[in-house]
Amino acid sequence: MYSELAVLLPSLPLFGGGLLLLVDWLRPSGHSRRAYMSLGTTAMAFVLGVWFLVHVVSSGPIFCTLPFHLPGLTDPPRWGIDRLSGVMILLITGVSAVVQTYSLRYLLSEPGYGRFFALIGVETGILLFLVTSQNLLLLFIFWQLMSLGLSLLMSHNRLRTNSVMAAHKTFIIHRIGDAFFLVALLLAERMFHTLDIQRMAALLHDSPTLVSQGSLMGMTLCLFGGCMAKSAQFPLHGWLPDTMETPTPVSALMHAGIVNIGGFLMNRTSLIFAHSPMTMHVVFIAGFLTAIFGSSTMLTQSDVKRKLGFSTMGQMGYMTMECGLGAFSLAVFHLIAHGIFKATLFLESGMGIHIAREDPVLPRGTAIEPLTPEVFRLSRILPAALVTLVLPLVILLGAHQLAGIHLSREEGTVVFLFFSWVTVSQAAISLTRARMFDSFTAAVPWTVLMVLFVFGYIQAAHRFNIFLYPDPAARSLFFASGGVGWVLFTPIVLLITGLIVVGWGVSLLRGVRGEIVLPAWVLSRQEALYLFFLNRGMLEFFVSHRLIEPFDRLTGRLRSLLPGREA
Amino acid sequence: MTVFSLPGPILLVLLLPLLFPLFRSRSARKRKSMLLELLPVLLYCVFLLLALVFHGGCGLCHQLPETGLYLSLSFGAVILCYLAALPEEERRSPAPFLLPAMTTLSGVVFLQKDHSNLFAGGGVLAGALCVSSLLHGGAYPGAYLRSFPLRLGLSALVIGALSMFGEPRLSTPGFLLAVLLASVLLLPAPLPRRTEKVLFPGFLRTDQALFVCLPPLLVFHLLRGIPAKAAIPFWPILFLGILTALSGLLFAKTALFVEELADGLTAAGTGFLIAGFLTFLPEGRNGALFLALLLPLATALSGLSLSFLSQRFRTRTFQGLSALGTNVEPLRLAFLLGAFQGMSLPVVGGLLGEWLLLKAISSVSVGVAVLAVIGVFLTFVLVVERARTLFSGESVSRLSSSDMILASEVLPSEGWALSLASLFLLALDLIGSLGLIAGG
Repeated sequence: MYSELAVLLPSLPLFGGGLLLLVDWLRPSGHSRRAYMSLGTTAMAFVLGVWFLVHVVSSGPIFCTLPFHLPGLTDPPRWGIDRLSGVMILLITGVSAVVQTYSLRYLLSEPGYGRFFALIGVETGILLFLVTSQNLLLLFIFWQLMSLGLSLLMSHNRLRTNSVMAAHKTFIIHRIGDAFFLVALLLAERMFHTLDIQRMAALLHDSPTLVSQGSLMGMTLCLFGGCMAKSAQFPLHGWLPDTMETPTPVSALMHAGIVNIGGFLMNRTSLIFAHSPMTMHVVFIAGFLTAIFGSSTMLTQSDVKRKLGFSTMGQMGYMTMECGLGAFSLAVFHLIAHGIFKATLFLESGMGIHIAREDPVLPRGTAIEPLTPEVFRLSRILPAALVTLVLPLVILLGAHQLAGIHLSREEGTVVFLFFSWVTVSQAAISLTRARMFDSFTAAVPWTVLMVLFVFGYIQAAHRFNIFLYPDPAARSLFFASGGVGWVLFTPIVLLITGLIVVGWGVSLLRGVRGEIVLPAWVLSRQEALYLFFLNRGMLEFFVSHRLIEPFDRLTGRLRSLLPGREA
Repeated sequence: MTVFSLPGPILLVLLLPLLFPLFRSRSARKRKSMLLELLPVLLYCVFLLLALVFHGGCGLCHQLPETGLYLSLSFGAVILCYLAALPEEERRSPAPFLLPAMTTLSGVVFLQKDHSNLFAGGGVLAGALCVSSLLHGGAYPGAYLRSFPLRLGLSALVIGALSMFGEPRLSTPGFLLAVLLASVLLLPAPLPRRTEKVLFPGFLRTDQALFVCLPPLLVFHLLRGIPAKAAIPFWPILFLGILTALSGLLFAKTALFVEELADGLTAAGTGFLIAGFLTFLPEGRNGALFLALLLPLATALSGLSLSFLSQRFRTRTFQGLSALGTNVEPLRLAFLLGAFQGMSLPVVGGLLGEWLLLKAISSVSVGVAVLAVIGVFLTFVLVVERARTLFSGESVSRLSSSDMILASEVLPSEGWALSLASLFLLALDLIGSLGLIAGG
């Protein structure tokens, strides 16, 4: 009974959106009451999602076999809700409902008001079908439909050339990923003779030598190629920052929901990824490069929404790094947290920009002379520096002494600790910039709060790991596959710690003594580096002038060889 | 009674489209009724559809090959759309006679059950295409390049010659290559056929119906003639198929005129289906059939919507039509539905047909399959780019705002043509996606 009822869940927003699309097509109207068709069904899906998650936790996953065969496959596709799907359903329906509620007034006077809600409803339904598919081909179908829906949402206002261009770019980049995904499907079908994810994992578990490491690596790397495009991993990230051209609610939906789908796919296929350690290392490196590039570029951008776009890219890099280290559940934990806070930021930014446009007093007095040097106060920077530097020590000692976690045996816990440290350091730096740490008096409670937050984070992440992957063998397989061994792991951690310590030292000396302690060759490259990140890594220039233009010239020349027409 | 190895009642059904000119003239004399005008071809399609539905249960229908029914029905549906869109004013056009006659002939050829007749029938149909090009070119002097009827004639001769050989020889690489070359000569691209001097809408639409929509079906019919039992897949032959697809894509990429897009994409799709079929695997054959049926309908839908657009604004170039379709919502929707096929998207884009083809190709050669995936990606980029150019952004038109409002409305004949093509395309894709199209 549950399996039949469960099919209703993704159908609800799809039905609401589809009905609204039909009604709006027959009788266009900009009345907000119509939007409730989509919003209401999405909210109902959220409530049902809570109910099903409770059921899944207490009684196990709900699976059903669909009553048709997909062409070329012998097994009928399976569909169902497990813990991962349950969590994703809540995230997707939750964010979609919030975004739709926000849009009720935000887009009220816009043309195509009803169509916008209809498209969001349909897109939500597609996403729900995607996260509940247990067959890779079925998942791929919804994966592509999601790109189509996103493109239609982004080009909602067809008269705006910039948003249409952004939609076009997004669609093409996603399609590059889809091409990789398609090759992965072809390879997987050749190797396993099935595309049922659970069966593939079971086959690998029962006989790990069933397929060669090279073939498995090729397949998983192609699968990761698909994730890279959707999750804006370097160099397939170009579409994400351009979302500033689309309506703010679409940006929020994209940054909070759609961009996470790459992380979801890696989690869905984690038991396959875990059998290819080399792929896990490549995933980690790709995530690392993305995190560095995204975060650095974010610092150089002046547009609020573009800044947020690159911040999302950096966070996606972290998420991918977590997958590469075998901390798959942490990636889901991260994407949920990121989804919620990024949706809030985007919706806030939309209102902020709206208010700023109508405020005649802007820019304010403080912004008139941005080059005026501020008076340096040690009390402003020291607490944040102490938090960043001392906290790892507190964490290590606390974990070892109080929580009884033996770090030498628990590589996964070290990964959790490392990411909690990074998160808290980011928070500390942001708070410093926002002048929350202006005095030692204010800094002390903040520091205490952060220490508590770190332990809360570790506990929550640890419990979430057990919740999502209850099988201890699977958890240890992930960390064993993603681990690089203590010989390599220790120098990496030491190197990063050293870099942070040196970074703080340089900032401190510069602030206290007013002198620049960096060597001349570093300073000479500072400007070039700044321009590099300001121009988003010159990647668009490279693609446009070094790939597309020569390709167009080549096709023109080839065409001129044919009779009957000059190039 | 059996004529052309077909039962008498079936032959009568196949002759129905020939009544179209009669109904058209009656409809023109009385009050114009599109339904009455199209009735003979509509009945032809309905009967074929019924024969397909009751194929297993009816003795008469069971005598007909299922694949042949699919091919005949697909071409009948395409011709129905083009006949609905034929302009009234072009009196000298032979289209009202030519299109129904080709529908009947293609029906007779596709429904041949005897395996040895497949090549002979294919040769006859290719010859009929050659004669059509002469007739159509004669009605519009200077419209075609001189080489065009010649290459069609050469293809007909090659196919006719192949029909004289026995089964064992037909499965050797040399003969496969001959079939491939004869097929490439039939394709609308990359070899050019029009001089672009004749620009009448009726001429361009009839040209598209005959020389763009029919070749994929004819090529598939020819491929069916290759005996499967002795055949082994040869990856260089698959590679040639993909090369044909890429050259078609190149043609579409460098297209100046809107009609050339359909030419290039159809050729590309046909090259792809040739490669998939020549794997001789069940997936390849099923996928090729699915694609062969979809391609003409997708061409009809996107080709007709572009034709209506260019007729409105009196220009055929992509540059001239840039953003002019933004406000013509029905044409935009129709073009996108047709273009989704080129984008190989699920539900409306024949994704699962392409999946079957890729699966078959990858079983023979992963390298060729990767090349095919690249081709699929490039097709997608091209189609998205064209859709964006024509149907989004601010239009800069010399038309006044009142004329623009008039231009955004769709005429009844256009509505009929586009609705029929959309309906057939969506129905076909749904049936194919559920794995119900099998054969070849």
